[in-house]
Amino acid sequence: MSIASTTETGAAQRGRTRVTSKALNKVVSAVTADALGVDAARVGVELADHTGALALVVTTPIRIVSLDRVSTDNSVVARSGGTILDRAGQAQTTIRDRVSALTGSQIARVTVKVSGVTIQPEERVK
Amino acid sequence: MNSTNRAANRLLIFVCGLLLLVVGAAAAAAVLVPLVRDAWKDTSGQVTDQVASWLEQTQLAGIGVSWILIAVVALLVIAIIVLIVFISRQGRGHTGIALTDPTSEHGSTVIESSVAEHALKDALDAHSEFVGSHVSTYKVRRTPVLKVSVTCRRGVSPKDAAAIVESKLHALDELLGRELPALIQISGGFRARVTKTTRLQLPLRKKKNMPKPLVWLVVIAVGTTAYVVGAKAGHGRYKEISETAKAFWNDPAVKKARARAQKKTQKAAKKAVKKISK
Amino acid sequence: MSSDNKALYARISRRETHSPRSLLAIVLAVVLIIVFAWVGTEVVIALLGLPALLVAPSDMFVSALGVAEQPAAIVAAAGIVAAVIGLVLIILSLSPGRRARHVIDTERAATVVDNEVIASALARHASYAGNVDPDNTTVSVSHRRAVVDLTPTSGIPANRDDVAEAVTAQLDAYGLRPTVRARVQIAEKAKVGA
Repeated sequence: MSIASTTETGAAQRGRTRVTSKALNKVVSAVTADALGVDAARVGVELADHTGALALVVTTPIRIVSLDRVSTDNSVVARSGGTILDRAGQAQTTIRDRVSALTGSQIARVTVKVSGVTIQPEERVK
Repeated sequence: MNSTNRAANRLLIFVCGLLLLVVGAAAAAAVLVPLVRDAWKDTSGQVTDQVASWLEQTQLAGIGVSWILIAVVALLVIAIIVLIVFISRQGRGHTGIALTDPTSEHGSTVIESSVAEHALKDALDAHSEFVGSHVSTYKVRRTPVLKVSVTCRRGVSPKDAAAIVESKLHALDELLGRELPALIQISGGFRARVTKTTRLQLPLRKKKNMPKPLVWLVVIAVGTTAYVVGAKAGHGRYKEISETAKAFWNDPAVKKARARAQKKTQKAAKKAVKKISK
Repeated sequence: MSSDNKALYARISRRETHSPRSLLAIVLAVVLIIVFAWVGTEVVIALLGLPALLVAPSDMFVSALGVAEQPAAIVAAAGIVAAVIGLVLIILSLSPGRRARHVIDTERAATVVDNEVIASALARHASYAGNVDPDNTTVSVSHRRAVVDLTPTSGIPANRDDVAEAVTAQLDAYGLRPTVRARVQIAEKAKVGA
């Protein structure tokens, strides 16, 4: 099921650009990977139609610090971007804005499914 | 921490026990106690007549068979289905989703169980007090609850173990942004009595998970059915088949056909021999 | 909500410290299924007019009623055995089926501890307090009691009060539910050179 998208330059349309679902997948994966600090290959994307606009379901791991560091250092959660819920919520907005800017598609819903964690190794104490 | 209906288990056991008790006691009393035996003999005749008359009265027109028996079969089938469902519902309860957070009408966040499980296990494995740990997520009363199961080394105080796990849980709450209800299970895997040697005992292997009840059920059912059907019916069937075969073989028409075929074959063989020797 | 969690934790703790009786229930269910299937098959075969597999339903009925005529010994024995099994099942279904665990009251989570872990920790503290080799200490923890058995070294007596104090202090610190009381027993015969 390919999803057609059009771009308009200026007032007149000079042709039609069709962005296939595969391309959309890649874009969404890349944006998500960038927002959450993971490898783009590990992000799964499902595209669906939601009354004319796009609905995205992104399944991704998330990069976190180990729990030992969280218990010893109070500020590390804030420094790494906030709680997982915060970051996922932020990622939703980021994904929606950037994907619609990059592909020109209207996005109705973004559901972020955090399916795993990538634990940052301890930084060496200098 | 699964969703097994424990009341149903106990009810089934109670009902079976009651049935066995009543039937066993009645049978023993009927044989041993003379009063009961005489009363039994007197009533058994009446009961037989009564049941026979019921079966007669309830005959279905056209088939000549009482509908009571058909109803009995239907009841048994329903009972079997209920029992199978009962067995299959033992021990479920795992869930893959730890929490769902609908941020707005434009989207939602779903945090899967593996996030909390992975983070906790990684942190717990770093502690030398624990030989091993295992984290899973169950649904209890529609709420996902974490089950953190740790195996302690010999001599570790349960209070220390609980404190360590709790601090990890607090860290998880901070990291996640939400507090997940949790169960901490502290086990040992070694005997309580200290042995003669001071050699550190390795923890005993954890009891394997019980195989799915449904698999057991299927194996037992298939095995028993196959045996019964094979043994009885097979024997009867074999006899039947061999009788039929013998009857067929000894049938006069078949005998004639056999004789004719034999003659033809002999003739053809002679002809062939003649042709070859020419 | 903390109060929601309290009810949740109470339910979880109760289920974790008692046996679910699953195995027995499954075995009984399987036996019942086999029996029902067999009886159902017999009735269906009888209705269809075919010869019975093992016992025809009418024969079953007749022999059940005529149980008084059967040889007394066998029927009595079978009946008594069945009645005893039935009684055992009834008792099992009604008894609580406590597991060898205790609950620790904690703030953040529901905690259950195996008795083995409690015993192992108490053994370590008791042997230290009594100046005894850990190999000569045995602790058994049951629902409400912890029995500490020490075998002291010959020539070095172990102080019963010290050990009792240490063990009781530990038990109080754990905060177990139901509370466990310590009982210290020092063996009369001590070990030489241990």
